[in-house]
Amino acid sequence: MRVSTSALTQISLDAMLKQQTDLSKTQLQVTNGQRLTAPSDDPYGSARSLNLIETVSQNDQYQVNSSYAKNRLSLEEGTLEGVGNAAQRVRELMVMANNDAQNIETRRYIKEEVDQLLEQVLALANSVDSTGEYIFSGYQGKTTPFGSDGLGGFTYAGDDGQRLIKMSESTSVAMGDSGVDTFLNIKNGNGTFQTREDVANTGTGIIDPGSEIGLYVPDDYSVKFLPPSSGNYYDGLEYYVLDSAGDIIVPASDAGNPEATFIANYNAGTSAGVPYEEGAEIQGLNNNGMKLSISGRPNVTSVPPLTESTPLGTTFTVTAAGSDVFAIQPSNNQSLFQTIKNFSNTLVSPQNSPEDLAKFHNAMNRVMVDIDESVGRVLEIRSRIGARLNTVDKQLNINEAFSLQMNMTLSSIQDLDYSEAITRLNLQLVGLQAAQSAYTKIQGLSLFNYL
Amino acid sequence: MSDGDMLGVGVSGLQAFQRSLTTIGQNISNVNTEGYSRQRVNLTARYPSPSGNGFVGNGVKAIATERLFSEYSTDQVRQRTATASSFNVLSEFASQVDNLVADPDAGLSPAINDFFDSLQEVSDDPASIPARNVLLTNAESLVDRFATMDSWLSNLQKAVNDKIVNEVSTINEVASAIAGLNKDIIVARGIGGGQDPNDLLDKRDKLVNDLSESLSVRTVKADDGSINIFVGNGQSLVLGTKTMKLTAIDNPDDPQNKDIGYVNPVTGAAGSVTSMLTGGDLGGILTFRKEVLQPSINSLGRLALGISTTFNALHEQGQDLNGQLGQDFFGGFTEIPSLITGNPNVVQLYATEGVNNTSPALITVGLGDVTNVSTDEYQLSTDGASYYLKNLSTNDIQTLTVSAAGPPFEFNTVDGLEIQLDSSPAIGDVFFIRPTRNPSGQINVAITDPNLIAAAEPIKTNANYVINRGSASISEATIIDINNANLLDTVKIVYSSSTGGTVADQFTIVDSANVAIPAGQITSPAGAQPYAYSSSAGALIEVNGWQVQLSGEAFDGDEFVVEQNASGVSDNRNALALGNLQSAGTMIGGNASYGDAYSELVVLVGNKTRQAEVSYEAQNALLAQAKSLRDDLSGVNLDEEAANLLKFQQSYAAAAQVISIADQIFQTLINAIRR
Repeated sequence: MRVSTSALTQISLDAMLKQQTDLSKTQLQVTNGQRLTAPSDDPYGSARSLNLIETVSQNDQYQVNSSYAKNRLSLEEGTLEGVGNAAQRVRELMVMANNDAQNIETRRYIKEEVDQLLEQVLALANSVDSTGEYIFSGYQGKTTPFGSDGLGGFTYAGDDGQRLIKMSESTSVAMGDSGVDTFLNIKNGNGTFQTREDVANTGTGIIDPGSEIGLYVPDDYSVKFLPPSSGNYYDGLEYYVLDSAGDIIVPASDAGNPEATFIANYNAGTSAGVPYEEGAEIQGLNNNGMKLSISGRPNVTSVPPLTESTPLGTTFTVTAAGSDVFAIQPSNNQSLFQTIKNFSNTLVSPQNSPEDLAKFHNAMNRVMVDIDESVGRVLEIRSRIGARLNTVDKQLNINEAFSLQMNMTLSSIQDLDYSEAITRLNLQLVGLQAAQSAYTKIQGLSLFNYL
Repeated sequence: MSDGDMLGVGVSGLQAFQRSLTTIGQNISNVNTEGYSRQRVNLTARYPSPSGNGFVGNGVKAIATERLFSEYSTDQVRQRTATASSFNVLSEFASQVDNLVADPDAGLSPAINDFFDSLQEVSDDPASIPARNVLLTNAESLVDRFATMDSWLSNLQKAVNDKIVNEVSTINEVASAIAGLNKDIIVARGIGGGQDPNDLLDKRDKLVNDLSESLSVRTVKADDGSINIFVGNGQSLVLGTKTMKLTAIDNPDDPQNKDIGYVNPVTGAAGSVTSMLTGGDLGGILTFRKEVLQPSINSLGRLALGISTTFNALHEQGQDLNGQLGQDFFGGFTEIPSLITGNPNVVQLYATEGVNNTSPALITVGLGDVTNVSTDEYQLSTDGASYYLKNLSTNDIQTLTVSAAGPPFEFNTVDGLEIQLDSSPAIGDVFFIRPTRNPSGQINVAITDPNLIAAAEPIKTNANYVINRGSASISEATIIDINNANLLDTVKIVYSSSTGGTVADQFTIVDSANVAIPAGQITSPAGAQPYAYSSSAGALIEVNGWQVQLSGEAFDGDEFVVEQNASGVSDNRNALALGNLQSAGTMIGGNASYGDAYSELVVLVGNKTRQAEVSYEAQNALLAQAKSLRDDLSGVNLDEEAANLLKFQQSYAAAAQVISIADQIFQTLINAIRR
């Protein structure tokens, strides 16, 4: 087979050029540290690495989000710790104030501290974060959430929105709690129902906050009193319980009758209330889920009025309106601030007569059980925050590991294996040198040299 | 010469060998000439003369200078030159696009990532103006990238057009030259008495090879020695001494892309031959345009439409810092009403009427469903009875379903496009729909004021915590109809007990003044107020275009409010929803996210480039083989020529010696008979 001179040259030249091309490509790879110099080197690898870069970038952003959440949550936690401490202190003061060793003067001093604690709690509730946004305003971060209404009450200008933050493709965490959840949405009383004396009461009856037993049947109940159906007025009292429709619940024998019917029967002597024992549990309420007791001596009026000297056997009648009333209602929402304010007001309420003292203690019972609810709520939210912080930390770790994994995969696709590349580079250098050397030698051969 | 003439024989030898030596010299001189076929003098013994006792030779004569050349291998070289050139051009241009799409500084992927990262920062702190400004900056970067890539690809489009013009001009020049050579060869043959003018033939072969670098051609040899050249589907380029011209013309139906025109010499009809030309630089550039450039432009356009449309749709459901409903975030597109009643306005897409249409019918195309839009371009035509949509990339034809018989004629949404014609077209009229060609150059950011970024949602739901005693709760509001006129009205849901008890068993839907909301605005629950409620079943309420879910035990008097999210500057719900778009399947039939759609482009271009490179290497190797085969026969080998030189030098010396001996014989004879 013939080989023409130009073909000979061309073959050698082509070989050298090819070596040079390969060499320069390897050089480019080594300079960049990347295996892929253009997508066409590995189209699917390129597309995959774009996807991975996107995932890594998202993941990095999630880390940023998570630390943002962490900061915010830590701030909220710290603020609530302060609130909790203040509320605990208020409770201590309540216990102190409830002690009958105190008098109106000493209670005035306690009030000063209580008022300061209220200011402190309000200020904490209006905390701002590092960007100047209120942390308890819900979605209205530039609106101051809490304020006084000038009439002794409190206003809330925020809403109950809760901002979520995305920590991974599938996990979000709430970045805060609204003012509603934290301070306002707190049930008063024992959390299920509240007890109070009627403002028109004239006796010294004191009702305790009670507790839930069994299933509470929500309704507005009233406990009212009667003179004993037999014996002397001063021997004791009887009581009966109504529901919101005005029907009798206790005593069970008259259950379902309207109050008027019961009173008429009582006056006629055919019905009687339950004998009242100071401090003993009010009977017949367990079925409706309530357990409570009343102490002291509620007042009852009758016609004719009964006094110490009323002879035995005197007939008398009572009316539905003639008795001290104690109400048992489902719990309302009451803010922490209102509870503290109520305490503050109670401290300077009249405390001279036994009746005043009874009112005082009734009020104190209420604020003490109310503050327990508030303290409980703060603790609950703090533990929620704790759980969220835990989730954030876990997610930070997961994201970290994920990022590492992604980067490793990315590296395996994109990055150059230096040892392989350098070896290849050396081989190609040798190849090129060999080709060049061969070319020079072969070109020198010609018959014309010998002519 | 006369019989047995030694002198004559010697001289014939001299002449013949001199001729051979000249030819060898010719070969040596042309060792580096491209396309040169080595020549060889064919010697033959002269016709012998009879004499009494046998024939006496009369020497040698050169019959022809033969050109050592193989038709087959020349053809091979020519064909493979065309193929190799075509892949070379394809890979060269494709790799430009290849480098562009994956470039970390110019490519789209990093810009999309940065944009969504900054959107998350806004989610983290929606009231922060600096975070919003960063989002706007990154949005500007994103549309800039689109614009840059679009302008880059437009420049490539122009480069393609320029190359087409240049190649056509080159082809025409070379064709002329070939025709000229044809003439010269015919004349030379005539003068040479039928002998082939070797060097002219070589030259012509080289020109045909040059032509093959530009375009695949077929050659047919004519009897008079000229060559006829055909291109495409049989269009003649050179017929003997006449040339036909290719022209680079503007396509009036597609002004951005030049076409190649040809005038049929017999019928005089002008037509476009673009689709029929293959091979060579011209074929390569046409393939590049059809399979890489246009799909890339369209893919980018589709992505621009996708991002803009889906992002805007969600953005408009949000609320900005001024308490207003979100406007368009991305802009730059014209909007037209949708063909589907009740749908919001749609983006208008590029569609034109054929320049040769006889009717004045105008076509309008809107973007009905970005999920189903493809990167193809379409042609609409009618046969009078039905309307057909032809996909210009796959050549598939679908029959369109008329949804409103016009005028105007409206069609069901097909491939995500809402098509309408304002009047009846004539048979033979065509309309071109190029939906994704322009958007990547048009997209811009419509917002400059950071306050206008709608990170919040317009509606919030609250329980009346002051009054409520029950444990019922209300969900977040979902927006069903953003365009409802009463969307932002305050609505209260008030519970009551039909028996006077504490636990509620019914509720009413009223406004802030406790006046019942008209039944026409209440989609759910059905019937008249008050509506029954049980804590086990809860209630799904849809009013004024929003929907909420109530659940739990409510007490008599409990209230829930659904109202405008006034001052909701820390609300990030819409920002979170917008952020979820990054991974959502918004494109390509709902199976791909923005990043996936872009990756599809990267893979397409990468694959095409790789294929072209690999094919080029393969074809180049084949070309080298073919050249080697040709050189096998036609190439000059200097050593061989040197050897021949020696041979004929010796032969010449020997022949000269013959003459010298003949002279000596003559001298001897003269001396012998001299007196």
